[in-house]
Amino acid sequence: MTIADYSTVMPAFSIALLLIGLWGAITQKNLIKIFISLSIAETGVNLLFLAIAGFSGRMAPIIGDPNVTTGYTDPLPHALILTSIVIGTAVTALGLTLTARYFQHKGTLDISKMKELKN
Amino acid sequence: MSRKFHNPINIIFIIVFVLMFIKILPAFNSGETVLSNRAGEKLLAIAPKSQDSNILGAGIPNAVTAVVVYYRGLDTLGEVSVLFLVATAVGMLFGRDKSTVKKETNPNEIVSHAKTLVLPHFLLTGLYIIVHGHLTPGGGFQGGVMAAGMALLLLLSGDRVKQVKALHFLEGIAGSMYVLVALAGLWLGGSFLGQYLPLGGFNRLFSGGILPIIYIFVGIKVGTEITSIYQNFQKEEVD
Amino acid sequence: MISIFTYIIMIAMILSAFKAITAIKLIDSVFFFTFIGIGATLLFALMKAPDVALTEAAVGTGLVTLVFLSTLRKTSKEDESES
Repeated sequence: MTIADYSTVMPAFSIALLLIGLWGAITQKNLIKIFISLSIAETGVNLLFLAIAGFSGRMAPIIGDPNVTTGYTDPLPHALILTSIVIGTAVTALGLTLTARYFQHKGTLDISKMKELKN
Repeated sequence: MSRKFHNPINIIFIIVFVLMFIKILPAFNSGETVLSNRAGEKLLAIAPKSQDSNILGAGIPNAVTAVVVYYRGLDTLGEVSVLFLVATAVGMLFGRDKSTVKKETNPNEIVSHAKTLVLPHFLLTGLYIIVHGHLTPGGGFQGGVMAAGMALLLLLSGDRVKQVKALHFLEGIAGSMYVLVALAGLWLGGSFLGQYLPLGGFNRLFSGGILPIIYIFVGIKVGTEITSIYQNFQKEEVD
Repeated sequence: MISIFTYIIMIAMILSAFKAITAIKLIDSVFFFTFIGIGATLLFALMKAPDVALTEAAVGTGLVTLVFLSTLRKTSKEDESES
């Protein structure tokens, strides 16, 4: 069972989401759709951490008895996912405020019309 | 570049990405077998024990909270700084606009009448999740975002929440107390973020030393910051 | 039973990721993206990570959806006066 096993399906699915988000960030023209694609890629990366944590046949990491500490999932990747989710959404919110202010000045969201940095 | 799906740019991307996909995937096949000698297993073993001569235990049953606040507390300090920076920047970018008190033309009937029944549950559940972060799943971030849902419900029902100065004051106080409590560990506990309060019994509310105190400050800070982000996004533009 | 449910959620998330990027109206993209957030919450809960599932549920559906919808409202060209 190497195809329908969790340890190969979960990384494959996360990498697929990451690549879909990356493709959307490169080929789209609307600025808000670029932000949505980057956020999809960040969700894929957060799901990739779970593939490392080890989840089949184990319990959630809330310890009942202080002397029996085997059979739980790994708590270290969970802490990294927490930080990643919060910072990802904070940066997305900041990018969207800049988008809203740019629209109030210039009136367009198409990236091929943003030529202020060209000579 | 045409707008159909099979234009040359997309074909090149699909081929390159499929090749990357096939190369990256075999690196994850052995993720489940080498589980027994990882750092996470050692952290699970010492997290619920109290501090002895050579065990740096945390004394709480929730292992993820122990890792986030105690064993990797500097990362949480950096994350709280990033949130503070983003909330300040959003406030500065929308600072010129006015938060007009003009009511919406059609406020939803159900939301207007039901918000008085639902609002106390938001606050109470959010505070419960923050305070019991070291015993049950939850903590500062989860409960803080949930308690900020109060402002979201008020905005959805058509009331404009005025900028309350006490929220800014509370945010500053909570952030400063986090750093001060961690700095006091330099003198009293032996290191930055060291333990100096007594660890109570296992699975009790007053246990874990400085861990619940730090998480409560983080929860208050996150809740007030997200409320200010919600308010700033509802401002109307003034030219 | 749990494994079949997990595979259904994964396939639905990949399809809605495609539709979120190639949709014509912007508001459809936001709704498909919220569905990805809900699917990620379910996956985190089924893989026995309760703290992470709570964070993704609170942040991924409440905060991000509201920020996107408010930005859409501010960047629409016509002068709309309804909510």
